[in-house]
Amino acid sequence: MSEVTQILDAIGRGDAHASEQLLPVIYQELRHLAAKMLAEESAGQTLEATALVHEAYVRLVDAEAEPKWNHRGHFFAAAAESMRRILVEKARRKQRVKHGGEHHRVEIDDERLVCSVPADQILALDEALERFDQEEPEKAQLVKLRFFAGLSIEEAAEALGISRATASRHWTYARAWLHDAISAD
Amino acid sequence: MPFPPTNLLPVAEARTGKKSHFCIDTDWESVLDSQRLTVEEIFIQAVQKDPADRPAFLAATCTDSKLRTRVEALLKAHDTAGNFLDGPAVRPAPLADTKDGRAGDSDPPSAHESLEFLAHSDTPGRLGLLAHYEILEILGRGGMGIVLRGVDVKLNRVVAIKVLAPQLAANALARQRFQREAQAAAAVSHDHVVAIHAVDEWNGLPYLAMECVSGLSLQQKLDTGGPLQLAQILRIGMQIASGLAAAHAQGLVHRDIKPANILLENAVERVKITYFGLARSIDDVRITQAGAVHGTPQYMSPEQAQGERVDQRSDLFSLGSVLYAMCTGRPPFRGETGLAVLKRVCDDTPRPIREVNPDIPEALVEIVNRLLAKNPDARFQRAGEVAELLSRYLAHLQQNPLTPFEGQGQPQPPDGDRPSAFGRMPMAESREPRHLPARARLRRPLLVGAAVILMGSAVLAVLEGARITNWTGLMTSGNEEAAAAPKTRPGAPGSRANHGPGAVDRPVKVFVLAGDSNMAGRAKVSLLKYQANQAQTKKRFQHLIHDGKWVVREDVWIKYFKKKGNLTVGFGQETDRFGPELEFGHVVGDYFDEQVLLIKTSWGGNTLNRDFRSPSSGRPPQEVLEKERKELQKFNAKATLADAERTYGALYREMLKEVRETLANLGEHFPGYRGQGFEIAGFVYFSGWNDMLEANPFYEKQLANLIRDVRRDLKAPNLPFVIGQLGVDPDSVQPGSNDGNFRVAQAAAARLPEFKGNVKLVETDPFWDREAHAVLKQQNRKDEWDKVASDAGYHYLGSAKTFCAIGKAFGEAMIELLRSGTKN
Repeated sequence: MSEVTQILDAIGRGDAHASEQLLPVIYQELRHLAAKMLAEESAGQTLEATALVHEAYVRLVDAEAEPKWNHRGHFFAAAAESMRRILVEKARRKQRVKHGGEHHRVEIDDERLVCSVPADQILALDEALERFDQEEPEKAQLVKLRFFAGLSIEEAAEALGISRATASRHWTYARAWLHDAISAD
Repeated sequence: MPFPPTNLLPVAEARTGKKSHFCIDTDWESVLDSQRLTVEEIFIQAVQKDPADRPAFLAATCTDSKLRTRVEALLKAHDTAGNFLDGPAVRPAPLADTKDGRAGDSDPPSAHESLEFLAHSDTPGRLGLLAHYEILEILGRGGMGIVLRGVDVKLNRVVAIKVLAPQLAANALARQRFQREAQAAAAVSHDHVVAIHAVDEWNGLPYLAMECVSGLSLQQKLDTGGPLQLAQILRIGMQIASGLAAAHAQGLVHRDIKPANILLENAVERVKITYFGLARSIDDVRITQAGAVHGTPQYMSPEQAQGERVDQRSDLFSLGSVLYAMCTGRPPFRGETGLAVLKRVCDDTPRPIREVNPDIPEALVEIVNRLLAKNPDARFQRAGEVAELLSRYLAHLQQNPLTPFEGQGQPQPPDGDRPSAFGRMPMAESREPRHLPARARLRRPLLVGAAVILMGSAVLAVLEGARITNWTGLMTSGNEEAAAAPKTRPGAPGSRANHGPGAVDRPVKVFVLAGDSNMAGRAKVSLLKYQANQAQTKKRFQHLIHDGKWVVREDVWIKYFKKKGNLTVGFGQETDRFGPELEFGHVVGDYFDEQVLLIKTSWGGNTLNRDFRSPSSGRPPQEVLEKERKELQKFNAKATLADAERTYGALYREMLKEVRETLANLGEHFPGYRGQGFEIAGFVYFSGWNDMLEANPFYEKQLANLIRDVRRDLKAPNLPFVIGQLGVDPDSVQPGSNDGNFRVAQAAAARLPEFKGNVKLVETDPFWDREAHAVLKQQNRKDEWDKVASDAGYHYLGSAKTFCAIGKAFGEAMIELLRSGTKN
């Protein structure tokens, strides 16, 4: 059984510490994978969060063990969180570099991950999302799964264990809430 | 929608009501905490309805105006969200950013409509086929054609392909020139020159295939990182010089050496010079819709600027400019228009490098200065010489980092033909004082030179038709500076173009605009637009519009938290509104030659007693804090006295933080910032409705404290202060009422002896819009209302006239203070 499958099983059994172990593994894997896919990038090939996260899942989780503990849900949640961190760190770093002060090594792989929103907006969104998370954790989770892990509404609904219709309603509300939050100030 | 909308309470009613009715800007989430599900449910139902039916639905379901306002805000956010969050956060890396750096300074590849000349490709995801190249994407559009990224299917490698624009291909002269230049460029084979793989024609379209370089352009590197380290400058400069030497040996002059044409190959930063003989600097002079010239011939040599014959030494001047840019982060000659730049290239000496970046050693400064000599004879004569010198310098730096490099003290004599060149008078040219009249040879009217450049080639004449028209108009006007001044600031008296070019290098004049929602700005842009088009009101706003578009002031930046940029409409509390900043910026921007920056730190619903309370006003009394804690405990049972105390002065601290952060990172916030420094020039405080309602007996003292504390905390003693006095509904103000007392307190603070000559009170009573107020009183005249007003009474009815007049008065008062200050 793979390391990640074991961790996922532990999470499924209610082991509170297990999720802490999951995050760094997935975080590393996503970055490694991003670098690898970029290096192999053949003409016209695209690199999307969706592809990245699914690829990571296939590589890290044993297929036969899958349906046992809602592995997909836990995995994608960790993947979304990892992706969010990668992008937020990248945005922060970009701002620091722009400030002119820091000359530390820039990870080329991360630089090649192009965020669809500008650095300052991703930070604003992240802040708003944190506030939203306080109020509506499930809806915030939905946003993370969709936006950062690139899941479709169906996949996200499945990962969260809610119906597609509910996910769709939550999405509409979350999107308006966040858009209002980042435009209001 | 019932009229007036429920949140637009008539002023008189509002004034007698409870505070919670007015502070529609305050913390929504806590107010609505108990109703959150309701907000969500109503929103979800409303969003599924036809927008026309929503008001009726909201009227029926929203039990109070706060709930409704919140739902309306969410509906608006929903309707205006566009594609917000629609795609995943990570998308494929656009190759335009990472491959051929040329894309960065070309028009955005917007549509594929012009790719009709491509043949159909069977491979999915390809734009089409050109000869044996499968086209993947557009990298950019240059003056003469389109640059594509494609796969050479024969050799299975990725290449960049430049195709002559189809509309030019019909022109035999253009075709010939393209071919000739491409072939010349193909003859250069050098490590530091982008390799040309093929020059050919396909279906009558000339094209060339060249090496596709992964990495950033030097321009992109400078944009993100500013000046480079000495070793990097030497390494990159040496490679450019060595690439140039190879090209010059083939008799080729690049004519457009600039950071955007220097590619730095990924990771190793190996230099690749691109666009040999293909680009003309003038390609970059683009005239935007607004009429402003974007991109400037900043790296051109004086002989190019005058349309004279150029030789390889012209490239060396440009190399000098590129080295200067690597040392300082900016090009040596800047100006608001292409013409102004050309003039400076010919006449001015750039600001000394060490003034901008003291870390650059004198030895490098001398090399750069010599390259920048106006007279080609006074420059280094050969690129190889410069490459060799920089290479020796680099070796010296690596071996003896602490001793100065003296390698260029005795330059090698040039080869035979120019014995008098530089050995004897190396620095004479570059030491010219700034505004020294140019030598006779340079005194030929610059415009003629510019015309020669522009008209010099048939290709350009065909391609640049629209641009040439503009420049021709300019040339015949006989008033080059006025005509060349950017159209983005029409009618601005004392436009910077008429002043010394040094103004752009003087510190940025910074004004802080602080206060409540009225400072944030509550007048709708749509109302301004309507009134600006009405015969009766047109004149009042005409300076804000040019050619049917809102004027954008490039000489006035604004930062309003996350919104920042050149001043125009839309910097109000919401993006469809504006406030006093608009006219304030126009007045102050017109007054100063220097760049102006407005930092707006305004929050709706705040008070001076609590939110803006400055340190000298001290801690609020214990019983006030106790009461406050009880309030907080309604939401959070664990709230402490310290939590209560923290709310006092929170916005004052936020204001300082915002100002400091902005000033510490000017270059990041405003790409036009050139490191010229800044000066905090004035502070405007406009706030009061909520203070007035509270009838705070300490207001006068607290306002005086605010002025003193701001001056101390921003380290700007005697900082000019403009205080905007509350002026809502002056006709119903009674002496002794909250309203009357409050105005008296505001005026009293401003009149304190210590503030004489450095604080000015501006009454806003005169700007109350009685016409709008009359419509408000009439009720049920929604059609008329939208023509005169856009918000509640306590927001000055959202009157465009009022917010413009207030801003103008603030600006004029500020200038008066600044003028009297300079006299003292």
